[in-house]
Amino acid sequence: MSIIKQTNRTLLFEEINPEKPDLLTLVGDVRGIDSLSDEKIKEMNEALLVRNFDEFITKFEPVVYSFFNANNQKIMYTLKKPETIPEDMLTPIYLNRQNDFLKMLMSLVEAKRSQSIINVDFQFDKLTDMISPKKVMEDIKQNRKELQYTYKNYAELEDGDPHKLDIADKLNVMFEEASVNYNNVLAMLPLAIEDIKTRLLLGEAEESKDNTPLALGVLSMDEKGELKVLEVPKTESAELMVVDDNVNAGLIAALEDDYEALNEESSDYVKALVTRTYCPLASTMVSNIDIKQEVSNYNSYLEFYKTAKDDFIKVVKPLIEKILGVWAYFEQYPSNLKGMRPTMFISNVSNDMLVKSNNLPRLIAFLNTVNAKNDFDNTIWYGIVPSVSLDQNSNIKLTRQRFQGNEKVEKTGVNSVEALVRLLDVLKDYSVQCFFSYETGDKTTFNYMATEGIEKFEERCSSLTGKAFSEFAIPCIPNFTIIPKEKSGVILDKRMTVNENNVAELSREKEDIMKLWIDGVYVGASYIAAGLVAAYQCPDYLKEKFKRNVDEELPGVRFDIEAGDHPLRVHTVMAKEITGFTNSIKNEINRRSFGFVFSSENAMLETENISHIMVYKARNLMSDGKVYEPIYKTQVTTYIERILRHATSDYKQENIVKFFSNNPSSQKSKWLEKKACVNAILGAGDDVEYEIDESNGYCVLNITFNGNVKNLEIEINRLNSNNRAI
Amino acid sequence: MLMAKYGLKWNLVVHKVSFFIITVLCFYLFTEITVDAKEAEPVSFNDIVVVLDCSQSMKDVDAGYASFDFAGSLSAIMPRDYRVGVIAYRDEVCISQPPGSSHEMIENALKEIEYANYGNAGAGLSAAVESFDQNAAAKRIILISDGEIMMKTEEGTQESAELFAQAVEKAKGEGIVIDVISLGQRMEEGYTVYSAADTTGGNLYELSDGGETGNFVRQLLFEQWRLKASHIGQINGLSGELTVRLPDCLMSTAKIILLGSQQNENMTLNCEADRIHTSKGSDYTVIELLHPSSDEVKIRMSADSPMDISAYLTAEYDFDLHGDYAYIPEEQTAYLKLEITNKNGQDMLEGHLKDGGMKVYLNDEEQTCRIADGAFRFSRQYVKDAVTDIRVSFDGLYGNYYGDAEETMQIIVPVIEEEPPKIDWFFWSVIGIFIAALLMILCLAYRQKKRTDGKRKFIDESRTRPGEITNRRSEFNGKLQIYVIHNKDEIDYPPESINLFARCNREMITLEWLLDTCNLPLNLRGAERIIIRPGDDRSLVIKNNSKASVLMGRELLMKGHAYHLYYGEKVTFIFDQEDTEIEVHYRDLKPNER
Repeated sequence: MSIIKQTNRTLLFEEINPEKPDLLTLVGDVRGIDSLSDEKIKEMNEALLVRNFDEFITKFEPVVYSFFNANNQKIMYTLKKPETIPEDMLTPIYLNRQNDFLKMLMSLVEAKRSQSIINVDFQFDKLTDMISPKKVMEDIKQNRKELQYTYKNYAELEDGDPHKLDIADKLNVMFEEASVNYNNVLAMLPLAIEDIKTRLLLGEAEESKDNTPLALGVLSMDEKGELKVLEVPKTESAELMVVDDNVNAGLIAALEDDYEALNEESSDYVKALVTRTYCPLASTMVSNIDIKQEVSNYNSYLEFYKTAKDDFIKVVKPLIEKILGVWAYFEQYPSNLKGMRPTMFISNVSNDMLVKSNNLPRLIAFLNTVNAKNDFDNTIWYGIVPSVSLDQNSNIKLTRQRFQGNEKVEKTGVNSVEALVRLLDVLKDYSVQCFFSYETGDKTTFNYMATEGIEKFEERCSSLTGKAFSEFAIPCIPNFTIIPKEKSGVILDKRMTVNENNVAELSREKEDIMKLWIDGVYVGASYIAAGLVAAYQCPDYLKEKFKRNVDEELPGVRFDIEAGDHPLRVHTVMAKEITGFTNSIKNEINRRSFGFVFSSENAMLETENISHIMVYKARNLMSDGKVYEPIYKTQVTTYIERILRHATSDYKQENIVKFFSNNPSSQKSKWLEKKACVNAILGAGDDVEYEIDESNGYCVLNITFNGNVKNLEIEINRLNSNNRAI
Repeated sequence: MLMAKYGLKWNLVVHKVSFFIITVLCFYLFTEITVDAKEAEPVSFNDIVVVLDCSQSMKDVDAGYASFDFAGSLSAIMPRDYRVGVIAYRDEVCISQPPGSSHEMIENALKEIEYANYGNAGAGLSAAVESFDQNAAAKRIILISDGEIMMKTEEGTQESAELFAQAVEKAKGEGIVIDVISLGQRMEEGYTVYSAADTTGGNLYELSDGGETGNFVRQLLFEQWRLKASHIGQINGLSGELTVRLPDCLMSTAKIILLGSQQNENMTLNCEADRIHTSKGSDYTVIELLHPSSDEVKIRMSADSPMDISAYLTAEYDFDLHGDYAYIPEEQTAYLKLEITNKNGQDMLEGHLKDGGMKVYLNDEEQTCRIADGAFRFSRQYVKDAVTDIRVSFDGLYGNYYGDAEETMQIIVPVIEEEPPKIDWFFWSVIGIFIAALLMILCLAYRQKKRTDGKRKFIDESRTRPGEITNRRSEFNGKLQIYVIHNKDEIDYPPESINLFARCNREMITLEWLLDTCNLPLNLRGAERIIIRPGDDRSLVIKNNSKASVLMGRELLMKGHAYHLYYGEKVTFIFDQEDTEIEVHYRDLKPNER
């Protein structure tokens, strides 16, 4: 660890926010240069390197832009900032922890994790309704309670009291948060919908309903002693001011001022709506309500809200899946640990752009700088390429669409296999192990794999096997489901109708239920695979999982997650999705040990039930003709090569001999001493030997893993020693 | 001016300065000599004085006079660089044998006395401290007592105790270590002698009575002091015979030490030596053989009561070193020879040393030697005269070696005087004409170059031109990766890779061939004139004869000149005024790619 302090920095090949700096821009022109300066790497780290999810959100500010189209009366959303639209006509919607959609998805994963319920039994609608107007309103109710309380404290204090200034600061922050809701009309919609509902359906009791309009009254007795509820005459707003304490009046005035200051074209309706929402008084009992108008407004708001939300979700889903991927990557490492925390370097450029012939030299120059030096602080060990295209060749040819089927939408943001090949070809030269997963959807889930097997994935990878880069390609299957497609419906609300008594009521017709479909949200398996492998590189993490036999100095490069009870101890933090794979599917996986396969199985570790998804296989695409090779072999080889290069001052022959000598102070002896540890570099049955071919200036290392020999060839102290061959 | 100012005369100044320099030199030289003299002084012996308490009270704890036996055994056993003396005290000092006294002298002195009267430890210890030779390398006192300082009167006791304390302090000041062997139960009251050990850094050994001293001698000599001796046998029972085989007969003295309960009246010894001397005590026998001539020694012993004897062998060797060398000028190597003989001139390498046990250092560097013709032989390169120090060290288990372990040798490298060659006038005139012709050609070439090459600006010639002819026979290695950075039609051609090792068995290739092989239809004019050949150290040699610009790093390659491209480097070709740009990376091949 003194030489190599981290073995888990991961390079994510994804575009998050095109407005932020990206790898290509920061590297710049590499004509005539092989590597970048230290200042450049520092600058790139400042812009593109993230250490946790919050830093990711702060640095990349994932955003969706919305604008209104007057021709079709719709809100348009786009991930790329439209350059022709003036700034003030664009509304950016930031996808951060406050965003209701993202918040809902993250709560869903956490709820599933804590409840340990598989997808088929999980009540997704309990959480998906978090984006319905009702829930938005509930959140606001909570906020307004705090707002009222704080304003009350503020009003009570005398002017000039220093404490009043402190409270004013707090109040400013709260108003800022509240103003997010009332300075754009779209955000006002759920408020308006709930507001109308509150006012029109006030008389609706939970169980029984009567059709008489509501008139507030007081309970009294008449002259004969008969019990009666007498209608109270409608009071005027001026009198209400007297009844309320002056606190609310002040708050109303402050909200109105704020609204007017923020919106140039303010409307009285919205202004009243804002004040009503944040400062509900008895004055909401307006005597003359145009019920028909209000009902019509309600229905059109609801319709508009549904369409807007629908469009928003369609546009934002690919980005949300990337964000959730990054979140899931960091989630694998417990937040309370302070060891070798996984870090992620994000290219923030589309892969089609990155792999263009004129851009690849820039990536090469970057990797040449961070991976081909004897300084390993910035070394990239893993890569993530999510959403690789899964070509689905259907043999059924439809002549006519009798029923509305799935539209064959050309998926944007999908990486072609060709792009992956180009990337792998570069990554192999710098020993970066690349985790890739196929495009998300219902064809790459646990459910699908449990019924269809892995043949399709293996077939799709056939073009990647038997190549020089195969060793560094790790196909991760299946993808993780956050919301399954069939359970992704969200009921927003019901339409409203006016009955014969001129009373508004919610329609009970089925077609009047306003429902939108999220259409399934998934996370690429490559994020979680890379996250888990990066996590177990940390000795502290392994210490927490195994308690004993963990060396605190060594990284987990030799940790074989398939061995013994390792998958039961080191598992993902994602909850189980299905009951498991059938034996025939497992046989199919085991036949050739294909891929980095996750399993959702029932398992027990001593007395503890494992309710999380575990790793079933961890293999790359290098095959000896029978089975694929475990990923740890590649990393150990890379690790030994890097340590050797450093310790022997770039492969000086005499230093190599010293490195492998039987002297107790030699590196090999030190490694062999720790053989019994879970994270030993050379475990039980492992060995390293070397042969020097002096005539050709090569040294061949024979690294034995449990009896299987892997060769590593290095050039002895020649001009160029950064190429290694296996 | 300044001197004039202070009224100084030039002669006086010179005088004073020279005087100062001479003084400093003298001081320096004398200091050197003093230091040398100090270093040259041999430090060859260690002194041990056994101080025996012979007061009446010792009778209770040592009725058998084992403490006398202890002193005798020490004087008989210790090798010759240890000198043993004995001081015994009662009311006053009653025996005083200074260090260096023989075993007989000590034995005879001890025969005269017995335990009686009081114990004036102060007087005893003071006498012991005084008895040391100032030149001894290490000084040690072993005080055997029941622990008590007791005189007839209280004043006398106090006086003795004070004297004892003073003697301890003095010993401490002179670096004398005092070990105290306390017999019997430890005294808790009155004046005692125990503190002497602690104060001077010595050890306090507590033995229950004198009977334990037999075992104690063995522990002290062989376990604590690690005397060089090897355990050679054991005799138990009423009678026994022990045959000892000496490792060789080259030693000056061999000592066979028999320790343990014995009745040494009935001992027969069978061996050949110049002189045999036996020293005996009640629990020890030391057989000393001077220049033994046969390596077999037979000892026969019998007793009335069962014996329990352990036998040890120790030997003393005197040696001389003789170094010599032979210098071979062709190899510039000195072949060094080191002979080691004993005082009789016998080759010690014929004895036990032939199997190792001796290390040779040349200027403090351990040498790997072979033994041939009765000498150690090793070699070292010398290009000029040198003085070498040869040192030997011994790691034998039983032998003590005496002699000068260092030998200085002056290696003289003979000067080979070469006869000055006769001047071959014909040869030199041909060379002269050739140089003149070469200069003319260079001048012409320079003028030509100036004419054709005037416009080029940023050319750095630091990159050496490889010898072109020598590389012809090399083979292609590695692979090339070709990136079309941009082209006229702005088509994104995928990166192409070509395995030169597998696909290329020509002597040279061109850029055009590369592009054709990779199916890159760029039709670049002049690509056929960019030549790539294999070079030294698995490099490629690139020669640009076209109008294209070729960049390697930040350097623009000169037209018509050859340049090396090594693994991991890249070269950029720019055609048609930057319409087309191609980057070619040269990389190593992995074994599975070959």
